[in-house]
Amino acid sequence: MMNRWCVIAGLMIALMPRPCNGAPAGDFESRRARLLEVAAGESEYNMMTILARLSTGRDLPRAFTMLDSMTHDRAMGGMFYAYTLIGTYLHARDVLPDSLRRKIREAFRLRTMYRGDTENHWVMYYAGIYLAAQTWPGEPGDQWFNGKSSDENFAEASAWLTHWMRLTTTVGQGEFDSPTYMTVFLCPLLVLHQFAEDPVMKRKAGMMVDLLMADFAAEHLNGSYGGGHSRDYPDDIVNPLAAPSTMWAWLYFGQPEMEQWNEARFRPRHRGSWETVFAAVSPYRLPQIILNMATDRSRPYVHRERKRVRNIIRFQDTVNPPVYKYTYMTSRYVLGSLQGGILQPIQQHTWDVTYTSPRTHNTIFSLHPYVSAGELAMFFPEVPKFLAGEVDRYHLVYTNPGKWNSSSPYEETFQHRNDLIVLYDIAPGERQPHADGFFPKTLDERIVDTTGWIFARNEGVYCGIYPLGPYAWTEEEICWRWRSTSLRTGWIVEVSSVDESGSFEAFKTSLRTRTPDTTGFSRSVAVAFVTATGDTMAFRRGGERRLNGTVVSFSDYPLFDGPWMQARVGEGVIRMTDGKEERVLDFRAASAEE
Amino acid sequence: MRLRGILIPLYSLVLVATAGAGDTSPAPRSKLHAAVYLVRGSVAGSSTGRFGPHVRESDSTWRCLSRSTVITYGFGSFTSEAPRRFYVACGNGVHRSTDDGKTWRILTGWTTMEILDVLPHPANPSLLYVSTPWGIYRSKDEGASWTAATEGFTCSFVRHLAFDQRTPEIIYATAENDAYVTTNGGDDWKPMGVGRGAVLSFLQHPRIPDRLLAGCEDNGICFSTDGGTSWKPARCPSPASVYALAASPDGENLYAAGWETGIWHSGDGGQSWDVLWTPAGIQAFFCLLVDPHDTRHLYAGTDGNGVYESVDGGRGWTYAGLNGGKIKHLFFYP
Repeated sequence: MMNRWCVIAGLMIALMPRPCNGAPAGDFESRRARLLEVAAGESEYNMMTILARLSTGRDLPRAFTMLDSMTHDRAMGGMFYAYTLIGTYLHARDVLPDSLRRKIREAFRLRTMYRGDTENHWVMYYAGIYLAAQTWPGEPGDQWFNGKSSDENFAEASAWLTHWMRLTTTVGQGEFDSPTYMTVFLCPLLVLHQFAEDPVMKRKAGMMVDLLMADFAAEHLNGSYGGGHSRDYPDDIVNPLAAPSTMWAWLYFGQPEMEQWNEARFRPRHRGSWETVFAAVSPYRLPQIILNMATDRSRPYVHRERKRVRNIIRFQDTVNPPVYKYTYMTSRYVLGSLQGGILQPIQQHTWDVTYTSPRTHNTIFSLHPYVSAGELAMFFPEVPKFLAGEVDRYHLVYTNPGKWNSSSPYEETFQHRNDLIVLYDIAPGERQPHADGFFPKTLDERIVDTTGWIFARNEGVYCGIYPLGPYAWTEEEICWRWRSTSLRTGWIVEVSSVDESGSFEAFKTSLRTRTPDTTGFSRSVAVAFVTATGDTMAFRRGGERRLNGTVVSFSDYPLFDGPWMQARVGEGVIRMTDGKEERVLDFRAASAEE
Repeated sequence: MRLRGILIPLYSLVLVATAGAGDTSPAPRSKLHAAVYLVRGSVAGSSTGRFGPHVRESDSTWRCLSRSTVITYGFGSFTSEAPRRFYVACGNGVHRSTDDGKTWRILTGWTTMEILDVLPHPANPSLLYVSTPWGIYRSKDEGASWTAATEGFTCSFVRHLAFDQRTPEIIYATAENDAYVTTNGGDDWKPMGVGRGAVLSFLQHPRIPDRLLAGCEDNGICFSTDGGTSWKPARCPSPASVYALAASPDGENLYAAGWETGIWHSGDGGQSWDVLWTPAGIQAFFCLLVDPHDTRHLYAGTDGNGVYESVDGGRGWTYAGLNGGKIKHLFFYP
């Protein structure tokens, strides 16, 4: 019985029409084919490797067996399961045996598809429920895990997805710009875009993919997602090309020119980012304008964004305060930052300079490794005393004094193009009374100059760091850890390259003549610094940021602002341009026009 | 902690005596339920461990009522008329069963989340209250629709709800900056002025309705003898965070527990407390429950050590299952 189905399925797959939305064949097509080929050969059981097999027609008996096992275990459930299960079903329902189709339907009746508590959880959950309710319409509540009818589930999912799209496109995404979690926004949206029958939802889902990819593209440099992130894992922070975003960049942008699954120095194969299979099987094609945004680095630029903080449930009056993100991009490096403070629990990555390099650990950054039950209690409803321990048990690093991801209420930044001031003013008695900096061992040079500057070089990228307090070095396996145990400390950072400064010697000479003004630092954590272009940056912790004497106000930050993207807060219209063409995403009208 | 640990059985006794003429079916045997919030090492989104609403099948054997993991905070029930309703407060909404847990329906939608407590009206099955980090929501149509009922709150995070034993028009709520009370079924609320920051647990004395107790964060227990108009700190073994308060039905024995407290006991209505049991290896207790039919039979829900049970009024305790579980609420149903 199974063999007959495999033969039929194989014939049907061979006869399936190729996506035909006008995208040119070529590199993307070969990459997606390559991804499917590799994923179809992976032995691990997950919906992506199953889908890859079903899509390529490879090893169908095993695909059916794997899918059968995934529907067998009644303990499996949740948001990840919801969208991947219905996505796989919809892709392959014409070739699935009736028994498997029934089991998949039953899974939505018998499993508790837990909704979760983060933004990405809810996108996955509601995209899954939307499509499931659409697929099996008109069924009563006793046919669904949550006791709600098909109509009720569809209406609820539709309402939340519409709400989330409106919120994201008017005041900003909450779980923004995450090299890991972008995956679990993109995948359910791709599935929704492909299979939603309502033309408005279908179109808006595709527009959201456009938006998230454009958001990534503007801060992408040769495969790396640079600058500040809402959430990032330590392994990926210190080694940007290890992040799942690298696979998305490779697939859609053609950069970096490496197959991440074959590069264990970046990402071991068992951590494979196979979710990109959902992109590979999707008819969605990245608009050329976004590809150009991601790859044209012929001119440096400033890109600003406004995002929002994850839902705050305690200790603050505002549920979603704004996040201000600043990025300066060149062809060789990207310097990007968030304004500082607690913007996300546990996994915030406030700033970094990331540069192009064939080597691992192509980044430098600093942080205060803050630990606080109060921080966690802002975002999680558990009683505060339990939170730190529980988070530590799950994330394994939260209370580690050497962790490489953290928000901190004692950290603030001020960036102007390729210069950054980051200040730390740690309260006495804090559990981790120090600030750390990451200097990878893959640097070509790391020089502690007599003027106080630290100079770092990786090939043609130069970085100057002026610490604002005493510090010590510790050699570790992959890095030199800079640590200051002064409660008041910080960095002045200037980044440059051979294109801008010429030689490294010239860069160092220039910085040696521009010692920051730290006369106000010990009294009020205030500094001033003159950049290579003659601009004066002045910043006081908890106070104003001034550029050439003028206060820099965050209140005028738009949703997106830069040469590639423009959007006003509250409008719901995103304008993209690559200098030649324009693409306008109008979420009010649910239209995308070029 | 749990006023409802006493009140629901009391309401049930009163209402069973007056309702259901012609109802000759025997009273069902109540089963102990535990709200397993998480198991150690899990956070939301994790698939590790079996957390969710559990029912005790035997001494240390429990059965999970949900098919997959569900973050679970507490229980409520409506038993004064058929069909009985059993409610579970979960991270993904309020779950309701009308067939004693065989099937469930989630009553809330996307506008409410993280349901920390559910309070069904004892006499009106249409009226429900839930507490969330974003305040209290009320339904007058048994969950078909919900409206915010937070007029008068100066913070949004509300943890627990309980009816006054005299009238369900009076409801007490524990919140992040005080305890609050409504006298009109939730139309508006006023702070009670406990004065010790976050209120984590609440108890109304079963025999002296104007005697109220509030367990506070890092501030032990406060008590009021005038219905909440004024509060005084109780004499406690330590200024601990008290997550659980319970009372024997006659009010002679009160119990409290929390973070690094062990089990406390008061024999003077909550004015002073002594340590009754100091367990090795149990860092905290989330909930306490007194068996309404045997006041020496106590249950305690821990943080990560499962459920413990005493049959001698709290002096000796034995492990009763669900090791690894963080037990937020213990409850008899039906």
